Amino acid sequence: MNDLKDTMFMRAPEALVEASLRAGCQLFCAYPITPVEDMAEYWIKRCGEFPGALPHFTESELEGGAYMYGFGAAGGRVAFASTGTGISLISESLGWIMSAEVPCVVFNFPRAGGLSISQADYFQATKAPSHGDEKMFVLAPMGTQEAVDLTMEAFYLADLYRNPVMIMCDYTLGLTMEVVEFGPMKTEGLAPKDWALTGDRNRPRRGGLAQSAPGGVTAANVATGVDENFGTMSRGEKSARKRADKYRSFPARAELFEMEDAEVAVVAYGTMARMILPVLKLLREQGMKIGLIRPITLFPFPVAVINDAAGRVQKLSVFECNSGQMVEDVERSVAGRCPVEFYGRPGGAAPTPQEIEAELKRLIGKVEVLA
Amino acid sequence: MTSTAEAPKTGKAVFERPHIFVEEGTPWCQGCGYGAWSRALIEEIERANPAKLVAAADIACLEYMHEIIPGDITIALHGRSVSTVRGMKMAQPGALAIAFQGDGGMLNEGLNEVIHAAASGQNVLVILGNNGVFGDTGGQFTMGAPMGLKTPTSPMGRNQATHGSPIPICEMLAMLPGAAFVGRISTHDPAYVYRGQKVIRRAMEVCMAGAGFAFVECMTTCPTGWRMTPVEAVKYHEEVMLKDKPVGILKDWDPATHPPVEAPLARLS
Ligand SMILES: Cc1ncc(C[n+]2csc(CCOP(=O)(O)OP(=O)(O)O)c2C)c(N)n1
Ligand code: SF4
Repeated sequence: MNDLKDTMFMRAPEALVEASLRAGCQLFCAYPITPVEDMAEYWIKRCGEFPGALPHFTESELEGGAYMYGFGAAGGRVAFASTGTGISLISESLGWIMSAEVPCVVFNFPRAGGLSISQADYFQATKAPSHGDEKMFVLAPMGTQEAVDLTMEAFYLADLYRNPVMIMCDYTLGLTMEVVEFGPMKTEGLAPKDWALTGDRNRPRRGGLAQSAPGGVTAANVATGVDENFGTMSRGEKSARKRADKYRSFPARAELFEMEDAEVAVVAYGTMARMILPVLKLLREQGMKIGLIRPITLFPFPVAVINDAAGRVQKLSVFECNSGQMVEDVERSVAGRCPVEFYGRPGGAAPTPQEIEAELKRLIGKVEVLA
Repeated sequence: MTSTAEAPKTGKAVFERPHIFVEEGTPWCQGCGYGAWSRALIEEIERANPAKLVAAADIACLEYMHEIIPGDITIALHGRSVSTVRGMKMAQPGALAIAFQGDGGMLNEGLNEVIHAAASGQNVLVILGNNGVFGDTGGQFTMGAPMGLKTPTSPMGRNQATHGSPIPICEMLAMLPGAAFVGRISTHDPAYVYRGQKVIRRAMEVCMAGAGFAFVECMTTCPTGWRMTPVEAVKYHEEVMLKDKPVGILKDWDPATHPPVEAPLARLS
């Protein structure tokens, strides 16, 4: 399998495809949209070296969404990649996939109208990836190595929880090239996919996701995103409640920097957090007590971590490349324990280090900003 | 109430419900055309006897295929059963794969998908149940409706200027080199059922041989959507729906010009 080494200097989109292949992904649905075309090309170039990986080039996003549902339901390991545009297109399929509890991994490179950084698709990913009550787990890496590690883990978590997992990148990460190392994929606790619709007609009929029916006949199992057709509402409610419990059981994650004695804390994810960190270190050296909380799971949101921090700092400020989205999650996490401010750069803009420095200093009260 | 005469105890059964039907009764309306051709199809699955069977049916009246299909089935989104079954087939290459789609799902919502599927030549069997209307949502005309069909969304009858012309999907798909087999059937009377079942049998054998993409358009009555009695529906079907729609095999598989795309599919012993 490996004519390539485990440590490589790679562009992030290609590294994520390499990680997918190493995690056993067999079908990669990628339709050209920058930077996703590079993923499609890399997949086609490399998949021949991984047994079971198919050299299929998806005809359209809509079909990609449906392939993901069918391929995953039939027991295959599958991924889809796009920007927010393509996620909008497969939104209906995602709803179906989530309610049928089909595992898959979705790569997202949100970008602004032009080709630049954006975090404007936070709501789309975390609140409403589709119609319906279902949720997708959303992991937000800050750099290429973390994106690779989270990708390998996402395939594991998707199978473990039987749910889609999104890797929430951004356009800047899509253009980043770094040294990355590929480790082994975790498999602990993964059960055989006995729920999968393999088509095997020798298998007895089953209940659960499968349609139950009188015994003595050949297998006929049903996967569906609608439950009301196959039982009473109470069955629909039961399975919806089970899914809600599943979402609650997923541990939220966040990384804390310099939070032990912080007086002011910044909350930021992805590339925005990465842009803040060097400035924060600089100001720390100058004695300013600023910390950073970086949510790694955007859904579920690390509510407890932020609530705890809110009890110890004077104020929190949320930095985002949008007009204010994650700030709503931060506000509900803080639950009034401290003031919450917002620093947003929408429309494809990103702050310069000088702008970040000025804003951090203003927050800590070192510089008065003119009204 | 009518009573059914009991078959003589010693008699030989010449006609019975296929034992493969796993549920009682039919999920479809009285006079619905789906019952006749789905029965023929299930009998042909029984005859072909694939070791693995995966299927997908659009949300629509045809989603009730899940009650009778002797294999694994997903209910696909409206217009997405062809690509859903293509995904299933990619994950389970040894399975006979069948998609069931209405004309609304295929000719309106998901038209690109069936064309891509035929172009790809992938070894899947696609069944179109064409009744000219969105049956499940109450009988609005679809892109498969014949000219003149009066529905609540074409109250004066379908016409070119307002509604465009019907899409001749069989003829379009037959043009594509990837399509190994294209047929059209009707099952509105016993003679048509007999001929139609033979077309389904051939389509299924083409897929069992690994030949590639096979397509059967099943012309279907929808008395509920057409707002007719079952008897009126059959008359309308013969006089209007089947006009310019020859039934039979439009493109048969020729192994000399169309090599199989995969090995023959395994059968249950
Ligand atoms: C995206 C979407 N749009 C609309 C619908 C509503 N819908 C459900 S069934 C149906 C009609 C299906 O008609 P057709 O495909 O011709 O099948 P039939 O019911 O006639 O068998 C529609 C429009 C839907 N389920 N999803
Ligand atoms: S609405 Fe039409 S297509 Fe649907 S079951 Fe009734 S008769 Fe059949």
